[in-house]
Amino acid sequence: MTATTTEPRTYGGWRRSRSLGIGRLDSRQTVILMTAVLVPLLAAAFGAVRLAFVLAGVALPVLGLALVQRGGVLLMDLALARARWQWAAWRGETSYRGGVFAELPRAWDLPGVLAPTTLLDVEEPGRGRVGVVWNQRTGWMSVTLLLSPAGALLADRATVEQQVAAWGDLLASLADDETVRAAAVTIELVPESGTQLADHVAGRLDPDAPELARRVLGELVAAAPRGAARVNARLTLTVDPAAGGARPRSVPEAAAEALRSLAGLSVTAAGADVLRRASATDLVRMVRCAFDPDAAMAGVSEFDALTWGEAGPVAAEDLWDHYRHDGAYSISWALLEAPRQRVSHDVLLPLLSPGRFPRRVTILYRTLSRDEAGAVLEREVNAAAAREEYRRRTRRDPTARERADAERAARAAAEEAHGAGLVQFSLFVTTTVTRWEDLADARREVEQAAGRSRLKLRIARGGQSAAFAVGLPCGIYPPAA
Amino acid sequence: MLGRRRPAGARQAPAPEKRPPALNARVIAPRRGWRGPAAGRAAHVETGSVYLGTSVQVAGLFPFMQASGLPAEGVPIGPDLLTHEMVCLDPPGWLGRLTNNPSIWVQGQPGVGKSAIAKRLCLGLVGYGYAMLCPGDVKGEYAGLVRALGGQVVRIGRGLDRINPLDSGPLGRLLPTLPEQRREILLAEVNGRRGELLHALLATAHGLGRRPVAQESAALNAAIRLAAADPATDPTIPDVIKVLREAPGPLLDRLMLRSHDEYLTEVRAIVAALENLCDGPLSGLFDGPTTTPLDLNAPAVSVDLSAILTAGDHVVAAGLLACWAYSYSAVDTARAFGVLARPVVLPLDELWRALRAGPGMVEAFDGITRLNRAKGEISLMITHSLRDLEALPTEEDRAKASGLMERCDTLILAAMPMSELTRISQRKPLTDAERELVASWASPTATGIDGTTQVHPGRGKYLIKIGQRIGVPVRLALTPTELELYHTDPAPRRQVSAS
Repeated sequence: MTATTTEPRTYGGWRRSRSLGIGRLDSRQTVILMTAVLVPLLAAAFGAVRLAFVLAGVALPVLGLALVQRGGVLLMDLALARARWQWAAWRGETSYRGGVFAELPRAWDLPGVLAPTTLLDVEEPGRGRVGVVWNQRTGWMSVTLLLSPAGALLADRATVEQQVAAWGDLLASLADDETVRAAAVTIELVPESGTQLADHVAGRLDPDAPELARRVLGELVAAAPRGAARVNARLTLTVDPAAGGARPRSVPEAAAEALRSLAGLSVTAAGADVLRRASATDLVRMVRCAFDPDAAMAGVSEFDALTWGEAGPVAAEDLWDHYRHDGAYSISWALLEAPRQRVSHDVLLPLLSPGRFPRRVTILYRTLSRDEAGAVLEREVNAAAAREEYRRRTRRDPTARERADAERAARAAAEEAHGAGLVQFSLFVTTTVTRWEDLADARREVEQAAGRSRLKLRIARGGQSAAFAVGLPCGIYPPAA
Repeated sequence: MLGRRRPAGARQAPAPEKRPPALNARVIAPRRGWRGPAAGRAAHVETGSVYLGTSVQVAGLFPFMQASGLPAEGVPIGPDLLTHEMVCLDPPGWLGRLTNNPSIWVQGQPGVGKSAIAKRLCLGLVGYGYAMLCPGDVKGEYAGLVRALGGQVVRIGRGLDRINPLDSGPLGRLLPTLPEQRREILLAEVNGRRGELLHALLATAHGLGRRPVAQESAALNAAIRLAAADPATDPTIPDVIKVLREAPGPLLDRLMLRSHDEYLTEVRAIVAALENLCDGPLSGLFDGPTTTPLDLNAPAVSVDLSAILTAGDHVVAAGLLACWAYSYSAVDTARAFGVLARPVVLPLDELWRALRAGPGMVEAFDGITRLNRAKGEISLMITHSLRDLEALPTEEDRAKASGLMERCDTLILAAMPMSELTRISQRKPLTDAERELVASWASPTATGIDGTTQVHPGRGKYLIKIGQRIGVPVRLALTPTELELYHTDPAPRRQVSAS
């Protein structure tokens, strides 16, 4: 009761992670800008005035592409995505026919970015069998925890703030393990298939029960799937076993390395109980059900016999703004802009609340190593100090933006000193429908929910299949791609 | 290939390899997938905006807002108000996992549907092979359901059915068939219960209005034992009065009294009080042998007290106690004889009425119910306020009463005012948000529309709190069959909201 008198805690102060460059440009833009300005100038300096004009004529549209944004995205990036996708589409590479249709060696490989992955079924001493997704191209191993969040909606604020702080600690602790590459939390909102309840009721129903009781239970079971949703949460940790001091010499050792990293996480304090480590069957089921929502109706045991290759779609089309797979349609979004203002811990709630259509929200995290984080923060504090000095000399009043920047830099440095880490995060959302007519509604639903969560998303145009794969427990981490 | 998952049947662990994994790059797909038509290569990998912040701040985009709900096991209740998940309740099934006790405490304002959820639970459990026994149905609410389940409804009232609170149950007459030792044990327990019940009845306003003192208590217990000397028949309250009036030698010996005058001084008050229980407003209810024994083979049984509802709270309270005691001993003896294999679900509606009937009532109730907890019975204790528990006259009663609630690991809270929630919170901590949510269901509609035609804003909404877990708010959705069934329920809504 006493907690209500204090101000609720807010969070914010993140900014887009960019490489170094002039002013607000990143290094890529800076290089293009310099080239576009210097090359015509150099040409002019060497007397080739006509050439300089021609070069300037070429440089201007290039500059435009590199500097002008549309909808928050550089024209250059849009053009690049379009060109890549168009090229692949012409060559028929955006289509996928799996399994028996494909020739070796790619037969039985999943589509797109999932193709280099394979599934290991590892025995973990004392815990039973655990599934590990091994990306054979990068060597990264991904292990997944199935979580059961306690829910923060009805909890006391002090408790929730503690949980949020514990979640922050967990993210910071990722920096202490140098093999950890990325962590991904996926909240999956799927319609309740109702089969679990139906099985349960069928198993418990007394054969001599009165007709009325049987009828009402039957009605309840029949009504259960409609409008009911299930919230599944999972945390996938992606580990590069080769990065550690002890270089694992075999695949089982590498998988053990990944499991060891997982054991170090204290998820329970962050408000989510650990149900179990995902077994190979769990992983197959999650991937299969993502590609074919109807498969969720099947019992768990039916996934036992499936191999990793069979978990994928039979056929898929990676279209410009949606992904078509095994009779279902998906749209995936990537984060464009995180909330600019300070927000309370429940800001993501609208996006994480079930709507009419299944939805998968994935937040990707990469914690910077301690050295890297220290360097970044020092640079920021120095920059703020330099601006301050410049202002003092020019006797100019600081702008609100500068003041906020300096404050943020100081706060971040203080938090780092208290054990916080620097975290890069990104967010992907996928919605899947089984009827083409619903796709537009599903798209509107996600965009509205994101708006209420103060996020700006953009459809991953041209990169639908990769963005779709981000939400699967396979350790796909696009910022590193 | 090493470690690659094989089809089922070949799931042995990959043999430990000593050399580093040698991968043939030509059979491993490139990062974005295979090239070539129909290969499904990811043409473009969208990275999205990558943001940078300290872990303290980034944690603020907290991903675990939504709870993933209770297991989909047991009796389906309805959709979760927040996640729209189907919420099920399985008190017996969760025993030892989520709960330590299968009893359920249901509390809420009048008219918010406390008995609706109780009925759903009973209905579901009956479907799972439970016997439903409603030992005191004050408003006759359960009668419709019990009849529809093909069960037995015993109507208590003058000119209707009569039960003997000292009855050892429908199977009590089998007592002489038991071997001596078992019979003694069972008889001692049955007599103990009888004494407990008579004490409680005497404590009501129609009896002494207080607990009997030590001497009276001794006289009463001795009289019960004497009246019950013949195991073939069950004593009635008039039988006990008769023994007390006759004052046989063993009774005087027991009390260590020499003169008849002394004896009269000791027992005059309780004899008068017992007479009152058989006379006045209670006459014709509990003063003779049972007319309709409970049929424990029926899928559901209800003891309907609605006929005495108009006789006043104290009569109803005494009636409730008598009926509960009778029903429990029926179940108990049935178990002792091994003829009731099914577990039982007991909705104890209007708990507050019985508890506030008089001092010592809680103890009686505790005594009646406690013995049964280990035997597969699920009690649904339904009440609308803890104030009745707090208003109990003695500290001992209050402590026992709160124990009743604390022993229930499952709490179902329907709409109730904040003051009530604060009281609950002192015993079972509720979070601020939980309290606010439940209280919001209780607040009158802002429009001020006359409540008579309006459905209560919190009707059918419940917060299910299991152990220390965060509560699950759920809406009870009645199925077509239930709607049809309750539509013809003889208890109109007016009467429910009148209490």
